[in-house]
Amino acid sequence: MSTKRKALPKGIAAGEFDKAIKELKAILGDENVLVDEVRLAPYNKIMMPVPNDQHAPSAAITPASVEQIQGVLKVLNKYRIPVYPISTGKNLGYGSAAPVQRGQIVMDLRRMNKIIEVDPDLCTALVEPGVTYQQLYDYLQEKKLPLWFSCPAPSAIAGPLGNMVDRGVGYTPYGEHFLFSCGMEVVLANGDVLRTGMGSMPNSNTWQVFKWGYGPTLDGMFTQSNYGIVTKMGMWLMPAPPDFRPFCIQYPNETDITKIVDALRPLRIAMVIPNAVVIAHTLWEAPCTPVKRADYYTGPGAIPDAAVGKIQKDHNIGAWNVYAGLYGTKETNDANWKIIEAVAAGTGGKIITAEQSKGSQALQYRFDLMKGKPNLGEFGLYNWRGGGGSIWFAPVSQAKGSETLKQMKMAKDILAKYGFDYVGEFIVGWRDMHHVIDLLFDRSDETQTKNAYACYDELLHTFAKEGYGMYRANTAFAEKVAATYGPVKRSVEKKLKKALDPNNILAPGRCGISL
Amino acid sequence: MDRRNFIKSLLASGVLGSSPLAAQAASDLFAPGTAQPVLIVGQSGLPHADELVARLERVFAAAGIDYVQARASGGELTDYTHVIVLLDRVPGRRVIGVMDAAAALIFQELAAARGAACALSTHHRFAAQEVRHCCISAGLDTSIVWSDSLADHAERIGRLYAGTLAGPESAVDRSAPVVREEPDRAADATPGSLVSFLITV
Repeated sequence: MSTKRKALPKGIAAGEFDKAIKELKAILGDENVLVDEVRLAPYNKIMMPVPNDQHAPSAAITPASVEQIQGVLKVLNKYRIPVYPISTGKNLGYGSAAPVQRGQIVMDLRRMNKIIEVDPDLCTALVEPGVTYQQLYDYLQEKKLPLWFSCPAPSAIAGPLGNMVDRGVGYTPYGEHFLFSCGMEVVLANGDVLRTGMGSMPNSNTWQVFKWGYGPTLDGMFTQSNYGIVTKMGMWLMPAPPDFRPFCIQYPNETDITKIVDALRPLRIAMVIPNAVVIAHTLWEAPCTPVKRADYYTGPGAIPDAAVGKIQKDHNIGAWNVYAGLYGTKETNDANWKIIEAVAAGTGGKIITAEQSKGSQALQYRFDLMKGKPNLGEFGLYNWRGGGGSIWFAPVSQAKGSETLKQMKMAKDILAKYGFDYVGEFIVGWRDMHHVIDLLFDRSDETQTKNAYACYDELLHTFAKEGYGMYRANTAFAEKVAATYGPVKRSVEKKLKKALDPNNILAPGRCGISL
Repeated sequence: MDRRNFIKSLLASGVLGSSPLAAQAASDLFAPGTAQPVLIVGQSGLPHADELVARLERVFAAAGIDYVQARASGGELTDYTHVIVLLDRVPGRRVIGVMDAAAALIFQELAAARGAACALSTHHRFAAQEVRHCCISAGLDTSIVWSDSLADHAERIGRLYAGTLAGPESAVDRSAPVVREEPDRAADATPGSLVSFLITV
């Protein structure tokens, strides 16, 4: 007799599903195949503005080795049951641990959490999916290794492999995480284990130092995709610089953003400033200060500009707050510091140094992130509105001042139409700029949740019409975002999927890829 | 009776009594007889959290549910090390958290990374006269939303958690008025917003 289950994979009968579960238990052990609803609850979607049932998992499994994953894939191919792999599952505003489609089995790789190797001479690491940034940080501290890594804002609970696979970014000079990854191990749908780059070559010791190998470079295929399960990743670590000088430059007016970007871009391209320059709006800074929204506005709709101005004044927050750092020796940083001072003076900005920042929570967490010290400071954003809803809207543009005000006005108008605040920042990567907006809503409020969906949808299509594509997207919008990149790319992606995963068992729908 | 109706019956109840329905609230993980007392983690410095924690204690005491309490500030509950130390103290224990949205998210995610199970999670939004609650229970596809007057809401929430913990031997008195399921909306972004949850770590 089959057990009654709430969510089943599409097209799979309960009896077949139960047989598969039995076989999975034989491979993984009962305790690593979760079907009890209270055990599955942490894998439910939390921040997507869609009904819960759309992303409800049918089960979760926690394999501990590549061999177990191979065994699992054999069963799933046999029954054609889809699986949704996660590393630490903390991709919160981009979708959390929930599967992309109802009924998929979540494959939680958190038990594969070994730091396999850190080479202090070559400054490389090889890690498994379940390793968190905090774990890696503690390891480096414990071993007294003067090495830094780059991490995203929710770093203490997130992990480097998952973040890289989703092409996340961080705040040190190694902040473009995929760029600084080197070598992956990938379990393909048929159970084959591929090592990318030099890893394919028997006896090679260059897997973590030379990314390209010979022939086509395949690494990118396994990021923002569903062509394989990444089980190991090499990453480059940064030697701790002899002198690190983080700083903030505050600007008083929203319109200052144009000159900020145009003044800082040349410094970024020339690598005078070697890390991504973050330019955070007042309403990003305020919740992390922390400032309570309700102390300034409790009416309906978006917070008025006048209230935002008052927050700036009351809490010494800029309309824009630029974060960057100098990394080098005292001599090089002394020289470059003069350039920073000149730029700030020439653009009307006020510099705040690390020493002057003491006591400011908002500045401290940023300065820590710029040296790869994990923290949870940015979670203050979730108290801004309360209710725990968050979707990251993240279009990419050229790093030109002229792009900023245009994008900000487009975003502010659409957000205000649906009653949401503009909580945004621009990040000058190198020649590109990410415009990251946290669409904060109360997910306990049905109307706000529906508005959040409609708002994101309008943002997406309005920006796409202007040629601005997303660099990353919430799971609920994967299909829509993929569609903005045109039919040819999608057709190629589908052909690759058919070749590598003919039974469509690996996260179908992730990033819009499915058969 | 399905889980949704069970939760509704708890919300409507006046006092705890004996009802086999309680078994449906959660799996054995949350059932009575678990050796360790329930840990209530309350965020200090939030008046609504203080009130709810106090009410939980009163209701639990009346229902014979063994509990201990830990208080932590908002800063502590958003500090990785502090939360990990808290979680290290509670393996196998049922934990009720009462905290703001950021702290609740961090606590639940760190607990989930250790394989925690979650029975209930509830958002509370406070307005001048009433409180809107939105409860999601394991296994429910949709949330249950209702409003209570500011004076009464903590009592009902206390009973909700107590009823979930009390298990099949507990009772539910249905004599109390049924909650309104289509509440007046608490004004947007009002000063008080809180999360409570029941997990086992």
